[in-house]
Amino acid sequence: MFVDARSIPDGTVLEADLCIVGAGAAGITIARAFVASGLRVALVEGGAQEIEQDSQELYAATEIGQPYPDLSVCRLRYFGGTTNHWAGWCLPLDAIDFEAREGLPYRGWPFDRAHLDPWYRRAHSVVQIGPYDYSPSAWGIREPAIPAPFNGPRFVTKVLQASPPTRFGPVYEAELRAAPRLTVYLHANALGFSTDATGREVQTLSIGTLSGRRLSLRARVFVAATGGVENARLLLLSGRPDGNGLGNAHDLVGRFFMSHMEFVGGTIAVSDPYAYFDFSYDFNATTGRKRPFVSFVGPSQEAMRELFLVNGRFTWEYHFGQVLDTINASRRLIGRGGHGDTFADILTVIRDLDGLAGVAARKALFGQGLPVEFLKVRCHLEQLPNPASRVTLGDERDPFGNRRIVMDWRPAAADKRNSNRLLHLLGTEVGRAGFGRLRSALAEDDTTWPDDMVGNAHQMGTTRMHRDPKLGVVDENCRVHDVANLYVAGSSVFPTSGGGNPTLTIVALALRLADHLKERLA
Amino acid sequence: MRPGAGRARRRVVAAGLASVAVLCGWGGAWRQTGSAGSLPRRLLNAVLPNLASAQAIGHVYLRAGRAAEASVERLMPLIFAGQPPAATSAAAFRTFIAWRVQRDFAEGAVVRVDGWMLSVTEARLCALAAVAAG
Repeated sequence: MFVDARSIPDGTVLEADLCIVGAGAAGITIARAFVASGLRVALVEGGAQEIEQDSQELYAATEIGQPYPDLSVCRLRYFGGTTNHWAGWCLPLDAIDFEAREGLPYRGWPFDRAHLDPWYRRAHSVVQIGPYDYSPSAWGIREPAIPAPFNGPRFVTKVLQASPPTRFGPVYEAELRAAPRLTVYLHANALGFSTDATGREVQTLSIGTLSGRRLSLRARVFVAATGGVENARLLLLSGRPDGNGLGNAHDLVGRFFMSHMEFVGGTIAVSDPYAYFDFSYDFNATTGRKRPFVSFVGPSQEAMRELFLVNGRFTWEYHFGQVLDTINASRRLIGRGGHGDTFADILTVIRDLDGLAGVAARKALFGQGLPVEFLKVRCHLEQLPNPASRVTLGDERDPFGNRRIVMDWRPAAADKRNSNRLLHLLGTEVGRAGFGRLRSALAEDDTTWPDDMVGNAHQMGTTRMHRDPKLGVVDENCRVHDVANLYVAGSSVFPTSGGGNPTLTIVALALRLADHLKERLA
Repeated sequence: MRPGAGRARRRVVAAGLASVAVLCGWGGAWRQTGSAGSLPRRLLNAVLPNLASAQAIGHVYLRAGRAAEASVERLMPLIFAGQPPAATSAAAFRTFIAWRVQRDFAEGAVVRVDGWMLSVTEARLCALAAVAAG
């Protein structure tokens, strides 16, 4: 059943066994797990079934750190949440992303990748992707087609699977509507959780509508599933009026905000003009269907362990001969040119030195095509957990009188060092293999980032998971430490961000949490 | 053994051999002329046939605080780790240089030339092209 909260009389107290706040990937996944449970489930969504400007505006925030995408644009506040503009790329975190690692602080999940594998496998059907197998060979990529530096030991070629993408709202609406004891409340903005006198048990969720109604919802168990930033905000707005929020006894809520850092890391002048090696769309002759995916290159787990690196992905922007011709024409016109200064000479030198022995073979594999002159290296790198990178509540208030978010995104010196070391490793590997030569776009210091460096819309870490309440907001079951009946779902619980896109892991963790809640509520 | 100690020791030995070569008067040997021209010229013809580009890179390399290397007598021992090559055919040069460049990258013996990450050997070959041209 879907109910517009604006139609409910002011002051109504709603009842449920399980209250899930937020109808995005995590919230809808958990709700779906309970459709046949016989339990009363309330799925509380602040927005409508379509985007509405006044609701979206509630996501407005202030930025004070490294420039970050507009939080009222990159997040979507309506049924289906941010999956409504999700690109659909899926990749599980690597085993190393779960590990505590010497010399790299604040790392380590309470469980390993193998523990999460069953839920990753189930998450695949939720996001409508292929088999739980990310090996290149499973996607029809022949080993000889992968250039030497990207076939181990330092770098490996991997695949991202492409979801249609699944828009959780439209795709799962009918199933939720048909569930007899599940109610989706729309236009129901969560304002905060109220606890008993001890602060150790949530009693009600306060709900407001932009039309001015105030409701409350009583439940046995509550789940905050409002996204990587908003989960922290909701906890900070909750609890006793004179307190500092729920789950915040150790001043952790909102800290450790992570995103993936994206920038052009440099240029590779390629020795082999037929070095096209992006793979996508595996064609299955039996079914006559294409399976969409894209390949990328990342550091191997062995290299990360040996060299104290953290994860990332490299993708390529190919530039062909005509581009170089244009550059050279520009150089002639203006006497010199920024990019072209040594580029043409480097290309000539490395093609002399590396020889073109492999060209015939690669032409046979890929056909003639246009000869590649250089690749731009697009970096998508993991940000290390950093307590100074955080979201807090500011002085500005939303129409409900609640304080808005202040985003202080801070990639640290350690992130810059990791980026430089990854690019240095890439440069030595492409040189060693005779693939080409890298010109890094990164300054060698610890602080200067390229002008094009941005955080992407992956928001993680603000209610991180750790068994120790001094190091995490939620425990290994995603329950807020010291609050008996409040759980958090979504990327805010990630202790590390890894190199992969977060949605698949969000869904896997939501399925895992749903299993836990089923046992608890049985 | 400390990681990288072996690599550092090899570099010290190579640099030492190069210095000894110069001090012992091997400098002349590096310029020896045969029917196919001088050793540096034959080396460059074998591995860097497009000399103008190599010279341009070589000048950038030398201008970045490496003026002390700007001579054939200095560069040839550095490129050959102090030992004059046993075989001087074009094929032998190409094989040797390919091996050196690969080893440089594997050992992290790289330099930045106008931002490009080059093996120290290939950068010195370019410098050789620059100084050999006079």
